[in-house]
Amino acid sequence: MEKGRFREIVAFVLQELKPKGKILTPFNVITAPIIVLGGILIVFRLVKGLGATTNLSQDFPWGIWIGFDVMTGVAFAGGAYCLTFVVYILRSEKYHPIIRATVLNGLLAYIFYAGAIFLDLGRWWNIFNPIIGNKFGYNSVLFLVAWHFLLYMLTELTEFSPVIAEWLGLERVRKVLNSLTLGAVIFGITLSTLHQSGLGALLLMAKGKIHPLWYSQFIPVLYLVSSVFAGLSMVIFEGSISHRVFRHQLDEEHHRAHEEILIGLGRACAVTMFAYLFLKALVFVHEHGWLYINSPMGYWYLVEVIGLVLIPAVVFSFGVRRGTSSPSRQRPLRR
Amino acid sequence: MERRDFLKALGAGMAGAALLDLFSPKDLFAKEAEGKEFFGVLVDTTRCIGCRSCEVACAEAHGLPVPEVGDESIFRTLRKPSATQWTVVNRYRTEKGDVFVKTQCMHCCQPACVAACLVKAMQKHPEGHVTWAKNCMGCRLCMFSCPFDIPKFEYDSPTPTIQKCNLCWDRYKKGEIPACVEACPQEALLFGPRRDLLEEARARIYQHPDRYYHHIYGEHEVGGTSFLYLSPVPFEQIGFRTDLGTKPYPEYTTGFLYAVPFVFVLWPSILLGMGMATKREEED
Repeated sequence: MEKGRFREIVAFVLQELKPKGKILTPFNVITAPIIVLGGILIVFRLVKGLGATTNLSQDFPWGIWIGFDVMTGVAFAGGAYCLTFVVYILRSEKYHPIIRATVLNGLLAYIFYAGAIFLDLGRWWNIFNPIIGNKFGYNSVLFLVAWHFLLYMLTELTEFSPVIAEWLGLERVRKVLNSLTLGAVIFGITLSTLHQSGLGALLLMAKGKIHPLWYSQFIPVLYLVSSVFAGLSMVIFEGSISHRVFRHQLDEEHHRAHEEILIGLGRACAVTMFAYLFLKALVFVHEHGWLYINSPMGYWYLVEVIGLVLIPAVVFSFGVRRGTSSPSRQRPLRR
Repeated sequence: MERRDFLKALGAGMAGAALLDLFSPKDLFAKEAEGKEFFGVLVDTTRCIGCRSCEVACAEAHGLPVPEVGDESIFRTLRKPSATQWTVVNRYRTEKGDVFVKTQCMHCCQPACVAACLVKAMQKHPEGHVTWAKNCMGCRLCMFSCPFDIPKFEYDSPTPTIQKCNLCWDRYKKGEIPACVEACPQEALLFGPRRDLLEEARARIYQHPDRYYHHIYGEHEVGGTSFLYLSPVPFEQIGFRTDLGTKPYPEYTTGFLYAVPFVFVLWPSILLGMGMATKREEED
């Protein structure tokens, strides 16, 4: 690349980095203190150790940070692999308008989770050991998950890279990167299948510590299936927000397309959730779950299965049948 | 070699290596080598008097804070090994009187912590010792996986380590027996090859069938452990988990690990096939 072109790009990026609107927006007012507080806590954690900033103990080496934030969070980031499958493998044009935002979301989510894991590692300076081979613990499920995490971030970056090239006006580079997309999508779906289920497989050796209602050798399958509807639900959630924020930039046709996309995603969610319920029922019978159901933990199990799977599945089905994503709007979309 | 060829070869090599490794998770656990077998310790709780000499010897051998002994009141609460105490002795009131039980790492024959570790910081040596090394990332999956809750983490340190009994690995290399075994005045602890210990344990049960509960804890539990226990009463009465099963813990994950290469072969080919099938003529 000639020098002049490079200088042009640098100038363009610097121009783009300048704040374009007001700095004191409501969003910034809310997030700025959170970021500052988070920064302070990070310094505190690195200087004082995990005991100073968490409630972790010898009996609970993993807490909400890993158990909920990372494990559940990664499932919520599963929308990217599901939608790349629909758009690039099944070639559905309908979902093309949201693919960029979804892949970007997935990429950002994985970067944040990598940061979250980094902060939870007691000996974080060794974080690259499984990558550089000091040593390769390939008999570990976590080794697989760690590698897949890294590779999947690179895959999502590849999937998103044509957008960056387009932004910088590098047409030739964009074409090259674009040609990598299908390969990246295939690789990404394979990696996602394995690390979404792998997160569940981490629990397999904690057999004596997990209540029998939740422990089953099918945990990896349940994790994979739940990542489909969790991921798609997140796409609906963030799609609704960005649609609201950027609505004045869209014409009527795109508004309607957006509505149809949400309904389609809701339908996919509902179907997957019912499949998940069916799997849960199979596992329940297989593991003799009725022995434990009439107990406090059994009630929590019912709260989870009914409150967090069955009811959302019914809500999604209801929305799909009415043909609208909004509870207030009575006008059905499909006439 | 051209760069392109190099990259191709690198990619193929890495994929091949990854597949080969993943196809054989069973080979990854230390096995008793030819002519060698795991060493272990037989703990005879009928002989232990609760003097806690082993606690003192352990602390001295590993540079840990040495506990005060002699105060009986410490037995009022059940203690667990901690980051500063690799072994503790507890007292249990049973129908056969007070039973004292020493607790420490069991040094499983196929340890969950070793299978869990993604950097092989936890290691099962062919001699039987399970040890920890400094290339650890501090992910604490070993703690999460251990059926006996043994690995302990230094939460209050910015440079934490995992603390647990290492069956005196350094002393073993110098030809010495574990400090706790050496310190025991009652010969309640016996160090030796696991097979010999099992024979000795069985002989004691046969010779004194009334004194012992007829079970050797650790012979089959979680696939066998290097620490073996004899007891006068059923083991659940003296704080042991008897619901852990006899399946080695790493085997709970082998099913998943075996599936990995299959997914890696099947998914890309199916997805590629689907992608080609849906391709429209007018495109490029």
